[in-house]
Amino acid sequence: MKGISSGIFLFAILWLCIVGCREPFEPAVTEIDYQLLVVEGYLEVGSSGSKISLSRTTPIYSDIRALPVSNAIVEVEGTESGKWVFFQRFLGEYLLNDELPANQNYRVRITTPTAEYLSDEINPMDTPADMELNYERRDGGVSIYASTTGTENVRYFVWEYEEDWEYRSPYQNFYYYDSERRTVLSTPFSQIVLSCFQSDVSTRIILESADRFQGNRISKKEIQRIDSLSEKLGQRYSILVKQRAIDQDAFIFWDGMRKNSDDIGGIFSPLPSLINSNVNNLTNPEQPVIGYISAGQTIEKRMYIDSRDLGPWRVFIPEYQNCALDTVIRDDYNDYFVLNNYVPVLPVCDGPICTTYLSTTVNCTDCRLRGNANPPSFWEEYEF
Amino acid sequence: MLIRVWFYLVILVFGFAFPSLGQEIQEEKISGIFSGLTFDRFARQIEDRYNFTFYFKSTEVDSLTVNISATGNPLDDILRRIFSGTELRFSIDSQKRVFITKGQPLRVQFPKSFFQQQIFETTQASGDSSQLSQDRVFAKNKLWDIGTPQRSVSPSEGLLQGKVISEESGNPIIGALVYSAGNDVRGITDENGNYSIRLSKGRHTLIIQNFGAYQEQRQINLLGDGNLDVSMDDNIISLMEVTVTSEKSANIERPEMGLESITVTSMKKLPAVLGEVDVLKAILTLPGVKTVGEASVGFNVRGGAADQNLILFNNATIYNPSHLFGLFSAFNSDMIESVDLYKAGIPVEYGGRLSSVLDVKAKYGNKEKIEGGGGIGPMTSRLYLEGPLGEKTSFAMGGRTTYSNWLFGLLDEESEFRDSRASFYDLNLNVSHVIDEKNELQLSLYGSRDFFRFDRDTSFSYQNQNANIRWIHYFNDRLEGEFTLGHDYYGFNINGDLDPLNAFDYGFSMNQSHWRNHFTYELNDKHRLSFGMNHVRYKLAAGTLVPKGEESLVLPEEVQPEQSLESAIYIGDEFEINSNWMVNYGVRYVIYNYLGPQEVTRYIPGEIRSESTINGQDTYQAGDIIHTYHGPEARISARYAIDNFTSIKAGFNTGRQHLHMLTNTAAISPTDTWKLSDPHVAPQLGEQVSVGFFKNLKNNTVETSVEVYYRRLRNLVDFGSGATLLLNQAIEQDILNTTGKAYGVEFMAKKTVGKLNGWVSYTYSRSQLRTSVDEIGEQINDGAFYPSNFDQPHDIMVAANFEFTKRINTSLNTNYSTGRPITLPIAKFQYGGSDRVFYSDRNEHRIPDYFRVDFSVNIEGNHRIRKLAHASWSLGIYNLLGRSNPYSVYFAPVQGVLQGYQLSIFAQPIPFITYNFKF
Repeated sequence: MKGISSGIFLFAILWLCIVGCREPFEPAVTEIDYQLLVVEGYLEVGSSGSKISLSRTTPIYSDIRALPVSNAIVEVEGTESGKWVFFQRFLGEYLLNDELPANQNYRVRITTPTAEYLSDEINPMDTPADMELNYERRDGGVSIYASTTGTENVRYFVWEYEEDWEYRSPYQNFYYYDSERRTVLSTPFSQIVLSCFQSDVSTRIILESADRFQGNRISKKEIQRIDSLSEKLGQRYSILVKQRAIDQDAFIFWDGMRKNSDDIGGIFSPLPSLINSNVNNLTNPEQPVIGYISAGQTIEKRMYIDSRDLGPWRVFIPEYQNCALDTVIRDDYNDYFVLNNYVPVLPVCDGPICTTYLSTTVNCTDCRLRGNANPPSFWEEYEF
Repeated sequence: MLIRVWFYLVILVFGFAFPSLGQEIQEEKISGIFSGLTFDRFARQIEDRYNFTFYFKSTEVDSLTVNISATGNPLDDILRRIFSGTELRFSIDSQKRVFITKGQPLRVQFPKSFFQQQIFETTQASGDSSQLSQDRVFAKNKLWDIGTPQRSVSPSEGLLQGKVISEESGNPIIGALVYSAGNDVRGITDENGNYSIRLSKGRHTLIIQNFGAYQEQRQINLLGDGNLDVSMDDNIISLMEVTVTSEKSANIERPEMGLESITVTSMKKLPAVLGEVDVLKAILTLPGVKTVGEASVGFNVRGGAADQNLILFNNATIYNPSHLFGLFSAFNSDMIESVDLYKAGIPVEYGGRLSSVLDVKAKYGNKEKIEGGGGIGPMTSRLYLEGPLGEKTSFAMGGRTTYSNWLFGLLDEESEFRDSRASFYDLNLNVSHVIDEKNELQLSLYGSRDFFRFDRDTSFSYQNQNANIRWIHYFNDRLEGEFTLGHDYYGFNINGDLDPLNAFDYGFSMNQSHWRNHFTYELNDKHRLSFGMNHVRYKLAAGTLVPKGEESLVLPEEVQPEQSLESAIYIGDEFEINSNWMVNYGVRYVIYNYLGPQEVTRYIPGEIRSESTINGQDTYQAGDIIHTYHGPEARISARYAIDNFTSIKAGFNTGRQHLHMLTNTAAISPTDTWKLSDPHVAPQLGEQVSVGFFKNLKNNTVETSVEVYYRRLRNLVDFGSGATLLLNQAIEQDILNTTGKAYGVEFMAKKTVGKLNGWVSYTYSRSQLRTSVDEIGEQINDGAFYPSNFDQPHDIMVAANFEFTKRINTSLNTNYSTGRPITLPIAKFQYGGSDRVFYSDRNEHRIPDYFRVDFSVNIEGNHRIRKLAHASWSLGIYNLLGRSNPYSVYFAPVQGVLQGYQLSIFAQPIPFITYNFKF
């Protein structure tokens, strides 16, 4: 039922704004730089890889999107025993290679040059490992779902995903212009780029509570929706879904954050929420801290969707909309291929002599300009 | 000779009798205040106190409200004032019988000329002798002898000259055709209304034809050159155009303050969004009434929340008065008789809400003949039918529906909204039956339903169903009783068909049964009592979730249904101390019982209510009284009339409200639920003090007023951050007890008559909230006062109508107000792969100011009597300037990057056209 309010919102927009009425706008807001501490992290219990990121808020119109906190000491203390110190891998990103034992609660202590912070006791949740992924064509697009089963004690879940996809430019670089020899040559096989790869990570907050379902069964929670004409499904697509169980307070935190991001501004949108935190500023208790640290296990699963399984999938890539072919005769080689970055695509031959080429701009033949030519390390090709 | 004597005798009798009768009528002077009375009641009161007897058709006067203060005025003066601007005429005969007729007065005396055989001989030289007949029927059929043969220049022809003027205004009628039947000769009146025509001597039927209006005729016997002046109607006044000008001085006379009445006529003149005449949009043009934004259902009266308005439609409580997210109101304008909004000084018979009562009265039907009508707009259509059913019964029924789904069909095949649908309808049926002189029964039925879905999976619907029956009994001349029994239902449903495993049905319903006895008793000239009793039984199912289909994994869940009984007993008195002072005072005692069956959670006293402070649970059986709240409500308002055109008024009233709307959105959303007061949620309490100064200028045609008010509100319901309202089993844990204050000053100037009419108002008002000092939970904005969502200090409204002719009428509305408060973030940060924002204090910012101009033209069709249907067009442009008035301003991440936005509802000029017809 979470989707209802946002659905009403969308619907109302359609209804009322036949002409379109959402416009960019920059209202006057405070310029005070509060520099509140932002803590984002997850304690991996029973495995390594706990990560905590520290940053500070910036004013709304600041050009700095995030202000990492680099000189902090991040420690985790077991309520029974043990104390572990994180190391800083990147600016503001603190990692722990050790494994945290499962049978106790934890507290995170953060010490910056100006203040000390301590989290509430964090009770690790056992994330069920039975996550299943599937997808369905729906209303022109494709929806990707996760299903899982909670228990009496494990009822709240958040998901994140990473996605990678293969795509092609409209034309390939089978030919190239050799400016020294002033002629068009065939590209060596090793240098032909047929397809490239792009990736993205989730930016939406995806969460669900199992307690309104029989047997705490979450069936087909929509993780990602790929709209019709998306280039993601033009060739081959892969998604890695990470599932984490959280407790009720963490759920309230994430849901508040979700509402503030997704449900805001509409006609029936809820008023903005203040968000809770389980980290407290010990030095200055009045100052709010942003963020919620949970503990447990991250369950990961990967799924591929190939256009060959999906059936016909039309792709619309805005960058490739102006890829017209121009006829370039030998006299114009220099103008086009050198000065204007054109690439020969198809020879137009008069018998065996091919001196005229249908050509197009380089961004229409070289997909590397928009992505990576090499598949990611985990990439599995389609199996016939 | 004998005959002649007889004639003289008659002349003697009448000639003397009439002047003396005239004096007798003059002698019987009428005094007293007749305010807010139907003409029927007015007539009965006059009959009671004086020797007059009234004869009239009640259907001809039932649209009239009498608001007259008389101090020794003759009856004909009073009646003239009541009927001015209407088609009603009266005549009083020697036996003090008052005949009221439509169009022409009944002849109660013969004109002297009837007996005297006076010849209307006129001369060209002295125009002052020309005769203008006051009596039109007579004038039509009398044979007028014109001119003398001696004066004639030509032996066979005579020159007839004269002036044609309007019966109503006395202005010359231009371009009227004057001709003799069966004759080719014709004349046309000039810009002064003068005509001349040369006719053969002898008998003629002279016809005076004003195009598109009445025809007048005269039988003439042309003896020579002469003059004939004619007065005639210059236009037919259509029924809807009747403005009840007898209300002129009500604003001075009545003791109540803050009462706003809108006539259906003026409502129809207001430019409407999408062409639908709309009660709720119309009341938003009044001072002190605001809304958080366009297309929102709720309205805020004098700084009160939207759930503090009692919306009555023929005695039925309407919980959701809107269609399609507030685009249209749920009232069919064809069915409406009157609209009253009480912003203060709520009558003692009403209660249960703190801010206002919107009393919409619907028609019970024309008792004379079957009539109907309707309208066709781009998105909606409506139809109504009314008329008599036998001699004693009349009915009115109406319906409205939309066919907006074609819009979605236009969408691109790939569009995600292609599967969207939206529709609504509403139906009315009102029947009135006069059992005998003393008893009348009224039945009122109303139903509405909205349905929409935004994709194929989730559909949404809500419905109002109301029925009530009222018995009106006149015990005697002084005591009148009304007994009403009714049931009101409001509910909404959400249907999720996402996939068989997650399919669900979610429902909310509110049922209330009510029984009301209301009596009015005319104690004497000075006291008018009203007293009675109300009982309202509430049954609320705040939320029910059930799985849909066998496969569904959704767990059934239900918020415990609640029930309660709200009873009130009241008495009020309208006391006219003397001609200057008038007081309306009353008291209402309300007893509210929260009833079982129910499980009530106990919390540790003095601790924040939460899961962890639960102390136990008390189980109550059906019929058990779980908790009782009771207390009095005061209603006092007084008027001091400085003179006939000036008065000062003051009022004080308090209220108690046991129903709370649970909402954490700025606008009322279709999924907002309600809550009854229970042991944890105390009733909302409110007080209002107001003072006003009222002055009418230019013979009551310009009304001006200044009203100042201060309100205090307690036990308001607010929520901590991020509270979930749907299916919340322990809503008391999320409620923050809040107090509020509101104050303001409203200036208004209104011109009620003339070609240019309308009003200008300016309001300065504030509305502020504060978490109660004794609330131990979260203190919003650290316990300081913060502006409510509808705190819009400055508000200017200009509503102007200009009548080009009786048939073409234009309106221009201009509205400016301060932007509403909004919470904006104070900082941004990155979290979960995206930019996020951090909010701090509530409502610290404002959206940009609101400014909108609307324009509309109403064109009436011609008024030929023999026509299938009378048609009118209303067309116009909403938001003429196309200004993007933001509804909200916010920051949201797009692909993870923060961006500021403004959302406006009607960001473009919205043209509209509606065809209305009557038959």
